Amino acid sequence: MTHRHRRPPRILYLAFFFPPSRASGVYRARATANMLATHGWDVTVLASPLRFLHEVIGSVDEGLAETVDPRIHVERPELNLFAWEKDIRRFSRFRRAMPTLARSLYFLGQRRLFPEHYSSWGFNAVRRALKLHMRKRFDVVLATGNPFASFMAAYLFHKLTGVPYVIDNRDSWTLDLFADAPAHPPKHPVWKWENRILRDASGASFVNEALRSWHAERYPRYADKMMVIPNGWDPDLLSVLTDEVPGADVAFNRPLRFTYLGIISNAQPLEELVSSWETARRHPTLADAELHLYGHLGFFHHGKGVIRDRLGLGGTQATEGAGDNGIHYRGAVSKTDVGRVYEDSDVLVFMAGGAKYVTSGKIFEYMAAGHPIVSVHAPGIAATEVLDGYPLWFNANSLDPQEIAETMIAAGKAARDMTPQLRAAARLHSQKYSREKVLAPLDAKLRAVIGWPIPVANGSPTDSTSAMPMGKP
Amino acid sequence: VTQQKTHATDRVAVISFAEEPSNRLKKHVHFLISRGIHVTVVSTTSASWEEFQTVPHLQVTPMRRHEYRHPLNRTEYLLVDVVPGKIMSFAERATETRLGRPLRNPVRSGRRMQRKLSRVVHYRIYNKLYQLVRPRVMSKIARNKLDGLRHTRFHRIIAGDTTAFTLGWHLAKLNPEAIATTSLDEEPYADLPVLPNIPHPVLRTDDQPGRSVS
Repeated sequence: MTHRHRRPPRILYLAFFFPPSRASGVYRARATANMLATHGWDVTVLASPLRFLHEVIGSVDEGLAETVDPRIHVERPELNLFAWEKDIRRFSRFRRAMPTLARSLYFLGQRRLFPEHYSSWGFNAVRRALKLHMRKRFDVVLATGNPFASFMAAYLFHKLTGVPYVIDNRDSWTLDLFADAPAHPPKHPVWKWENRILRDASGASFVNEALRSWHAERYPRYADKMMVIPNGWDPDLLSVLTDEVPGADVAFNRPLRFTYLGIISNAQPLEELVSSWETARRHPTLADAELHLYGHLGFFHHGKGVIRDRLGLGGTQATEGAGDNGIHYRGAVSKTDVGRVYEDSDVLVFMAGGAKYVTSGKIFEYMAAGHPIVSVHAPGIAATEVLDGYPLWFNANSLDPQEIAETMIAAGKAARDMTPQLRAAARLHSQKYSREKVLAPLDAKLRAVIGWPIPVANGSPTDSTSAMPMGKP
Repeated sequence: VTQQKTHATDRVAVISFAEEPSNRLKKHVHFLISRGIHVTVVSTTSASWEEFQTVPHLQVTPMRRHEYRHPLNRTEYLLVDVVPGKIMSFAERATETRLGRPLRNPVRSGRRMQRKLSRVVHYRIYNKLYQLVRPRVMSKIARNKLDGLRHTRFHRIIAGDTTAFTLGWHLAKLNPEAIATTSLDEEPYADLPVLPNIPHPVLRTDDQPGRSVS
């Protein structure tokens, strides 16, 4: 052990969406930071300004902020809200007086500097990171996207200081996941940025093998740096889950309770869900069954009306029932309370938009709950890789409402016939996707980058370079 | 975000100085008037809002005439078009005399050059620079010429495009209680009853959906 190994390794984690944000990717960032702190890292997170979370996207889960390890130091660089500010009174004097010029200059910056509305946050993050680095040196930088300004910040910080960086592609930057095609035209500056960021990165992780392969094919020279770090479920947030079964001790005669939990967005097959549900509910097994929808409508606080219409909910109340088809919208649930929602459910509905590159972070929690899972998504999405082998998975492998309805009925029957042993077997399948297990290779990778040994409970530290798993874990 | 209770008697100012308002804006104005909201549209021309002319609670205030007469535009017209044109006309007349006849061809080509140059200066130089100051010009015209705007109490001020920001901000100062926004939020009025017989908006076919950053 060298002299510098007597202090904890110091990491700068660039994660724009970090608690109290409730954005879909925040759970991975929270778990990563917590894991690093637990594994002995001195963690500093640069995250989004709170005003952006509270006033612009309006997506905050204060309960989640309390689950962040207190050893983690969080700083919040400023973000220019030009693209989001709607209140004319809050415009700068320059923008009020010369709005056309202000707009032209803003877009010039987007074209010439970095093509993303979050770029100002990236530049401010570099400035803040340099100040922190001068006080106490960082050993490595980990950046998660989106937004991908965090990758740019890691790259610039590396250029200025030489500190190595690893990027975590929580989302795809240049691939349109839903259209399965490049997200930008060939001459777009984003391609240059992605190339230079991958060229200088010490590692790049992706959430599934399909995404890793797509990038490896596009950048074969950097393929050996790429690895898969799948999403997972967080045991600390699902501690209320048990192997018990609702009808194990008494006759299970009450109506079944189906649940969808997650963000409800326009990219999902909402009409297919409603149609198949109404068909399935005519079967005696699902008589009087209820479908409870938990989660925010859309990613932002505007644009909820279209989703409501597509679900046939109508009205503007936060939570409501739709009438006689048994669909109830229950609103958002704090991440710290989702365990109770899973525990009170009989069947979970896994609805996802997009095609083969989409995994969805939610599916890992679904499996951890140990209930029957009904798939409502296009065939062949990446999530089916992790569901494969789950004993209570009911997949129509189609978006045909009639076929989905049949799997809903089959799942309903399985819920009525459930035993504690079957639920325990289902939950066992999810164990390999607990956060601790899926993030371990990332810890090893970061230690390998800086040549730091992996601490072990007993005996001497192991050499991290030999412990580093690459490619598919 | 300022929260405000809404009523059918609310008065909304919609400002749009684009040659053709976007489809999103037209749909929003239709949404507002179909809920009985009194709307004042401050626009370049009234032609873009013709389909709503029978709606009694919609008032369209065109600005094109005032804009043409603004000293900045008049001066440019005078210097770039009228004065050079007059000089060339004078020269052309001079070539009609016996003494000036040999200069007829050079003066004719000079006339053509002058027209071409005037067009280049107007479209390629002046117009581009004018777009930068147009928000201020339009705002000043509206405040000086449109008394109704100054004396109406608005509950919501909507800037429908970038050029409208400056006037939107001045109206916001005159109406400190009003919401001044670029957002076309329907939620505050969604629960109001829908009026019958409101004409449908005539939409552009060349509009680009999803333009968000103003």
